Formats: sequence, structure tokens, C-alpha cells
Amino acid sequence: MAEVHSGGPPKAPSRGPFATACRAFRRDRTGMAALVVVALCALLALAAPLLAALYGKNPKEHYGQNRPGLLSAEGLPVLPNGGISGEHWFGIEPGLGRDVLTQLLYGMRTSLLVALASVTVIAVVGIVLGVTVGYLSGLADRAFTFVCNVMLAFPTLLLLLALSPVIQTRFVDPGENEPVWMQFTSLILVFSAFGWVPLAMVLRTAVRGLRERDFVEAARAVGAGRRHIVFRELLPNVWAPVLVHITLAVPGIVTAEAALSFLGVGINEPVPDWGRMISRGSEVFYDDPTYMVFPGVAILVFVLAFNLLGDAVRDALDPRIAA
Amino acid sequence: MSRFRMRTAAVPALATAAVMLMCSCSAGAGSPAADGKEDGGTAVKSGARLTATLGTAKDSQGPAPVVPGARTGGTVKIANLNDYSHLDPQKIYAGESYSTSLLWGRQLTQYQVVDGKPKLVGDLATDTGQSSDGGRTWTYKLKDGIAWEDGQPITSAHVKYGIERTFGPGFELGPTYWPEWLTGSEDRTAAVKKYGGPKDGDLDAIETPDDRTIVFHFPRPQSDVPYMAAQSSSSPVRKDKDTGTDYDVRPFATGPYRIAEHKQNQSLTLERNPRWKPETDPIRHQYADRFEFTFGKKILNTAQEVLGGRGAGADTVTTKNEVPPELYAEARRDAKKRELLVPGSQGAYTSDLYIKNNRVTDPEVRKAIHYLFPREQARQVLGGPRLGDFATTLSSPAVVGWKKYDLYPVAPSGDIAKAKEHLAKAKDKVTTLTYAYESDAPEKDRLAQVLVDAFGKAGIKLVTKPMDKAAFNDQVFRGDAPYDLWISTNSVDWPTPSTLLPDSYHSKLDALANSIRYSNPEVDKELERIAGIGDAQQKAAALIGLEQVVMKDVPVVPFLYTSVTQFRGANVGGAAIHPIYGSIAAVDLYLKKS
Repeated sequence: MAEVHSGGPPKAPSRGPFATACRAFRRDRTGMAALVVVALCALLALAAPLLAALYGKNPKEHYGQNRPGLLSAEGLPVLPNGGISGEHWFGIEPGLGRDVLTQLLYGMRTSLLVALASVTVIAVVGIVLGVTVGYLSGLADRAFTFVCNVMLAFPTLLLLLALSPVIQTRFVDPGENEPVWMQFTSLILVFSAFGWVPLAMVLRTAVRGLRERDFVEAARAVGAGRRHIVFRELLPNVWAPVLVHITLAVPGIVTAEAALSFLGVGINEPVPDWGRMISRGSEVFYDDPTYMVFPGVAILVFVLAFNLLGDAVRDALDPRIAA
Repeated sequence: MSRFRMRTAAVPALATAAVMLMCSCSAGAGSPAADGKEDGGTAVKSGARLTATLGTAKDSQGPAPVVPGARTGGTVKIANLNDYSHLDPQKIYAGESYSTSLLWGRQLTQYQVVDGKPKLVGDLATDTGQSSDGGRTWTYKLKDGIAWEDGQPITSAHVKYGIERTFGPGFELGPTYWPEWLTGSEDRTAAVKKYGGPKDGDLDAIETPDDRTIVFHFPRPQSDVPYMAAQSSSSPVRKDKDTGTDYDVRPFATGPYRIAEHKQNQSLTLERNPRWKPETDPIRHQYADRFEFTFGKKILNTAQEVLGGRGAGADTVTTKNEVPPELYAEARRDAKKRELLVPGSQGAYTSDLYIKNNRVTDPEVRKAIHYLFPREQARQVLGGPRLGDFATTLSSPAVVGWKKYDLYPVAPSGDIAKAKEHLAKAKDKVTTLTYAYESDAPEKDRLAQVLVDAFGKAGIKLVTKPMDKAAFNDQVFRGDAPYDLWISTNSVDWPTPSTLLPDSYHSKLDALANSIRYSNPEVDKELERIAGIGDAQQKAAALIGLEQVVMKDVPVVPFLYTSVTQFRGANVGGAAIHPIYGSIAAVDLYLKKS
């Protein structure tokens, strides 16, 4: 259906491909449920400061350390189940005694910020490069393929592990904390620097197929310039793979970011982070298994919802499935 | 693209999440009051007086006091994370290596431990040494019947050769006291210019009139020779067996065991040394047939095996490592596992918050730091009372002559109001301080957050600087390093005060020794006076007195007298923390059943 975009006059009940996809998507119950969860997550992340204010806690204060009776001398929650109480609904963090619920809410902001910013850069770079190269072919195409292969072969995780102390010592003044924006920027840059490759490669292949189609030939025949062909003829026909790629990239980046924080090279203290929470959970697993559950379940539900959403989007946009 | 439908995975995944939620109920840590009523983590109070006393010639006779219930036979397995970086007696320079090397090596003197109390006695020597000439001359007589693993007797020439080696190139790794004392030099660099080790021939300062007698001649009075004679550097070495760098892998034995095989970073096997005579040795035992050390296994795995009694766990013990924090609380709850924990004071170690005095020059600011430092919260985030008791003094209670004092009493959780008062008195407003730390474990990051919180409450922005170990050592111990605070855990070289103030608080010392750049002309003058005292007791008393003068300036903030908690297998007997070396003493170990 995608390629009928520049086709003849629309048929009687005017239904564009987008409307068709929307209708297919609305019929998909799992997809809708996933969308609701994703929207809820986004809402929670956006409203985190408001919710924390209503709940009366913040993610940075060491409640357990500053109020007696919450943590034992060893730093473990005194109350059962990780210190869950009317005061701290999800319990408190062993050691520092921070509030788990607000940590989770703000941790979601961290995850979403990194993922969405990276995905935006990935989408822009991937689309521009993929479509352009797919249309140009020739020398540009060969250079592009070579660069992509190099990028795919690059050990991203190792690069990040090696990069983080370098950034710390080279770019941060000895008398200053490493700025939070720098931590975020370096993560986003590395994720985007490697994340655009698969998207660009998919788009290149798609565009190479489209380039020889009649409607492109026709546009060329009536004297359309390259810019017109790329932006007006080719681009509108590749938004389906872009959309699918983006929705599936978000959970990938969220888990990658959590993995990095687990390894200690992601976002540092005191910015709340799910990966670091899970890492802390594994340290105290024998004594306070409850603590691991909240970030664990949060990341599971979040990633699952995004994956299901991506899956549903793909199904809705795929003419072979949309019956 | 794969046609695997993600949604089919949704139901089991959500079910998993639900199950996780249901299984995650856990007991709380109980009321903190009840926990406090128990020993709170340290069975042996780290503040206990474990001061070493000097034993008599009679105490120095063998055999060693029997470990109650000890049996002979069997193989004790020791699982440590890392192999020993040095076995060469003149290169060994760390508490646990000192303790473990007693299995195969003997020194002039050594600590005999009975009921956890240390006493310095003659080991190869008949007593702890006779001084004359105001502490400038020290004489040792060797015992009868002491022999190398090949049966040849140990002579005074061997002891002399061992000490001569400490001057040689490559031996800067070990303690530098022998070269400094014997040549009367300020540091080792100056000492080795006067004598460069065995290649320069005989060292005149050590006299060996006969095979049994050693006489040390020091240009300046020395009071701590008996303690230095217990260091591994004071072990005999035989010239014909000195294999150079290979000696670092397989030294020639004088103790109850000899090295059968040493595969570096894999294993070290010891077997009985038939030439060792128990009646000559007041310290060591020869209970087990063999000792098998293994290296490389993760301590978490070792601890799970040992505490659970799985595999060879019952016969296994660790001398180097502690109970992993993940397992600690559970082991304390389970009565069976709790028995297998071996807690104790970590020798004379103390942990302090160091302040760079040439950056934080105002004593009022340093006092403010003393008051706001959240000792309780800091210890809690690191693991709680098992790390040790709060310190109020610079030196450890294990040091000879130690006196308790508390110049600026403060609640363990800190006193922000008092800190603010002192900050207000400061001449220049302090708004930012930097805190450097080794970021080798996540709890160090959390400790940094505890400090950020406390300093923030007093109106100081604390900048945290995580570094890896190499960068930390390289960056922080420089005179002009741009960091104000760091936490350091240190010990004196032996349990007298004479290596504490003189080696770290004289303004002429370099940034490696006097890392906080403490400088007080009066203290310098007093230290120079004390250096001339030859009597051990007078010297210790003078140094302990001076300590309070130093601490009035708050050059550092005392944090903990540190403790350790190690573990042993159910079948391993005699495991106790050595009061001087701060780790399980290998020479007392035996197997209950074999």
C-alpha cells in the first residue's frame, strides 16, 4: 500500500494509507494496550516532579539515614519487604535510604530522555543518509556501505567503558563535578553514532527499490529535481520502516542504558537510574530481594510495552498482514 | 524480518513479573534497638586493648602454647583471591603476608599470641634483644637447634646477609627502616649511597663475632629494634640459596613448613619441614600435614562454598579476604553460618578523613569538617558496625602507650549546627570543597553521596571526584594536588607510635609520606627532640603526648578503628584474627577431623 501514495485520484470513500493503518492498529488489542502503557509511562515521567510533590518525597533525600528507625545499623530496611510502609509505598533503598517510588519515577525520566533524544538523532541522521545514498548510488553508495560495515564492527560497549573515565579526566575541571548534561550528552552521542547504521541501511535498500519505480521515473521525466524526488517522492514512501525502527529502537536503548549503568559507566549518582537500581538490587539480593523487584519489573513492563507497540505498528503498516 | 510474534511472549513475561512480585516478600532487618543489644557486628571490639607486650627470654623458649583442641594431620585449604605478589622475605610488606609467611619463614623476634593477646618474644633469637649505649647498640643471640630446610644450621651471617639485602636495588618495595637506621640516614635514597647491598661487600654496622651473635650498631639511638626484628625483612637468607628474582617465588624455608610447589597465580603447596624443631619455636605450630593455597576463585563463590559446607568448603579458609557484603547479613542470621565468621580488630589500622592542610588552611574550617562529618551514616552505607568502632584518636588502641582522648566530642551522626558556628568564625568563606575517592566499588559512590548530603547541609558544595586506583595514587599524593579531602585506611608499621607522627607529620617529609601537607614548626621541633630518645617507653610516651598537640589542629578527622570479618570452613579449627597482622593467623590452623 505504501507505494500507491503518489497514485491516481483517491477512490470514493477517501481513505489514505495512514487512516488504513490507524484502523488496523485500533483493531489490535495488544497494540492498544501497549500504547496505553507507553503513554502512561510518558505521562508519569513528565509529571514526576508533580507526583513526587503530591506524594511528599523527593528522590535525592536520604530518608533512611536521616530519620531513625528506617534502616538498621547495617543499612538494611528495618520493616519487612524492603521497608514498604504508608510513608514509603515501594520501600526505601538499602544503604542510602532514598525513597524507591520517586527513584523509579525519576529513573524513568532518565531512561526516556536518553532513549528519545538518541532516537531523534538516529532518525534524522538515518533518514537523511539512507534515503540520499539509496537515491545516489555509485561511489557514495560504496563509501556508505564501507562506513556502515566499520560502524557495525565497532565494539560499542567497550568504547563506552573506555570513554567514560577519559571524559571524566579530560573534559572536567578538577574542581568541578562532572556536569549531568555531559553525562547525558556523551551517552546520547554514542548511542546515536552507532544507532543510525541499521536504519540507514534499511532505508537505502528500500529507496534503491523505489528509485526504479514508474512514479519516480515519471517525476524525473517531467523534470523534477533531485531534491524534489528525494523529499517529495521517495521520503513519504519510507516512513513505515522509519516508524517501526524508531519504536523498536527505544526499548533497545533503554536496556542498553540500564546495562551501562549496571556496569557503572552510565549516568552517575545522584541522578536516579534504573540500571543502577538493579545493580544495587543484585548486591543486596540475599537480604532485601524486594528492592530488586521494582526496577526489574518497571524495566520489564516498559520495554515489553514498547516492543509490543513497535510490533503492532509494524503489523498495522504491513499490507501483507493488514487484511 | 523475523516473524516471531512478540505478543505471544507477553503473557508469560507478565506472569513472570507477577511471580517475581509475589516471591519478593522479605523479612526486615528487625528493630535496630535489638540489633544494637547484640554485639552489633564486631564480636571482638576493635577498641579493645591489644597492645603487644615485650616477652622475656623464658617466654621466647619453645614450644609454642598449644591451641586448645588442636589435632594433627590433614590438609588445610586456603582460598585467596590473589596470589602473593612477593614471597621474598625482604620484599614482603603487608600484614597478611607477614602473618602467612610465618608458615615457612622465621625472624629474629615474633609475636606470640595467647588468648588473642600478643606478646613480642624472641623467635630465632633467645630474647627480644639487649640494648646498650643508650639504644645505639643492640645484641641478639641465636638459639640452638635452628635449621634450614636442608638441615644446615641458621647462623648470624645468614641473618646479616638477609638484612644487607634490604639495601640492594629492587628491595625498595620492603620497609626502609634497616637501611635508614643502620646508616643514620633520613631516607633510603641517602642510605643506599653509603652502602648499596651485598654487592658492596660487608656492612660494617652489623657485627657477627660468632655464629650465634649479631650486634647492630646504629649512628643514632633506636628504641624500636625489637619490633623491626619481627618484620619479614629481618629473616635470614642464605647466600648460596639466594636465587635473585626466583627467590620471590620460592624462598628457602626455616619454619614448620616448606614450599613444595608454587605455580604463580594458581596454587601454592606447603609440606611439613622435618628439620624444624618445635622446641625452638615459641610461635608456630605444625598441626596440618599440608597447606594448599589456591588463587583466582571469586570470593563470593568461595564464601558460598565455605559457609554452605559444599565441596571442599569445610576444610577451606581464607586468610586474605573478607566475607562479601552480599552474604554478611544472611550469615549473621543463620546460627550455623554465624559460627563460621571470624571477626576481629584489623591490627593497628585506622580509617580517617584526610584533609589537605595546605588547601584547607583555616583550622576553623577543619573543625567544622570534624563536626559535620557523618560518621554513623558513612559507616552504615559501607556496611555497618562490622567495619569497626568510631575513632576519636589518631593512633589505634593497638598501639603501645595508647590513651583515649576526644578533643572535640561530637555525636556520631554529626553536628551541623556546631559546624556552621565554626564556619562562621572562618576568615575566608568556604563554599566548595573537593572530595577524591577510589571508585573501585559502588559503595564508595554512595559514601560520596552521604558526604555531599552532610556538607550540603552546612552550606558547602562538595565536589566528588571518582578515580581509578592508579589515578588516585598518582593524583592525590602530590603536593599540589587539587583535592581537599579523601578517606584513607592506614596502619603503623608496628604497634608502637614511633612510625606514625615521625613518618607522616613532619613538615620536611615529601607528599607521599606527609600527604596532608601538615606543617607545624613546634611539632617539627618536638619530633626532632623525640628522635633522639633511645628508651622505648619514654619515646612512646612522648609521641602519644605529642599526638594530642597535633590533633588540636584537626589535620585529619578520625573515622574508624577498623575491623575485619573473615570466614572458615566448619572443619577448620584455630581460626582467629591475628591481633597485630589483622587477618586469620595461618600458623594456628588445624583440621578438626582428617
